[in-house]
Amino acid sequence: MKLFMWGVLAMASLVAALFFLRYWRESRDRLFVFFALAFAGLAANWTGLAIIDQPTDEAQQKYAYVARLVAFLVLIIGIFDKNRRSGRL
Amino acid sequence: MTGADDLPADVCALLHEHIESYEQLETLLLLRRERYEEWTGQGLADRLRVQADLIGTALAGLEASGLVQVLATAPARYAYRPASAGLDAAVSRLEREYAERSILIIQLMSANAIERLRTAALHTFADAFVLNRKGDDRG
Amino acid sequence: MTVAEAVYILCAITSILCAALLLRGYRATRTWLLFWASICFVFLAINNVILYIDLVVIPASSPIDLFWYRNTAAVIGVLVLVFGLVWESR
Repeated sequence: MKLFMWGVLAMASLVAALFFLRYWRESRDRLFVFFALAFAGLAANWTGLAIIDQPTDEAQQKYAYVARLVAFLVLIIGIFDKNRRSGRL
Repeated sequence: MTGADDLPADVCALLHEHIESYEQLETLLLLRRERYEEWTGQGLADRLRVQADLIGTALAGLEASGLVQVLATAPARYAYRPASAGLDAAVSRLEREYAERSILIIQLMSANAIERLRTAALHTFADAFVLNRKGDDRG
Repeated sequence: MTVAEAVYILCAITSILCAALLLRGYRATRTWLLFWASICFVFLAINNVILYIDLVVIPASSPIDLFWYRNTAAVIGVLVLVFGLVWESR
């Protein structure tokens, strides 16, 4: 059941990433690229947890959380980038 | 076969960036044809036989696009004053194309309107992440 | 504070920030896409906060495991987002 849950999370995040990629193509606003990368990162996080499948050894799990960290850092960078660009206008 | 891609690139760009409605198109072309006149919003509305508030919105857009200037106030008088020679050239080509192939122009404007509607939500989404937004109270 | 703790806190703060900005945008424009996305980030924030409690506050030896709580929040979050993205796209 845990594996199933991680699978749902990974798949849904991947679909969201693809949607954001499409939004980027339509709007040409690169904030959506950052969102797409972030949700791809979340998908990697949950896929990683499923592959490690080690609910007791937290040291192992921490490898997967690096992907989560990257995902949220990408979001922060994207928001900064958006503000920098709109400040220039 | 002729399609919208036959239109000169600057005409397409002008329509895409600056012309959002038919009243805006007609207002722009009228102001250009009679560019030595100064027009009030009401005068334009009477001439084009549309509601004055539609003309007001159209004029505000044209002014923001650098196509039209306010020359006098109370009442505001408008005249065709393009911000650059390139813009003027594009409007002159638009005038000719609209006279010769008006259906192509209308088709392109409709396509642009649909695209604007589609991407409006996306731009709202992206703009939500601007932290110190001026005019926060516009909604 | 360990690196892992900093990661969980950073993720939580980012989610809350995104949720707040999207909710503000929704209130200003009434665009539903922003509403669904903000709900997603609310649940991702809940997920990150429970994650912090589960892996940092509660000692590893404790029998308390919040796995189902935090991942249910995450599942709700991403599913709401996918629903919003599908529903609002023409």
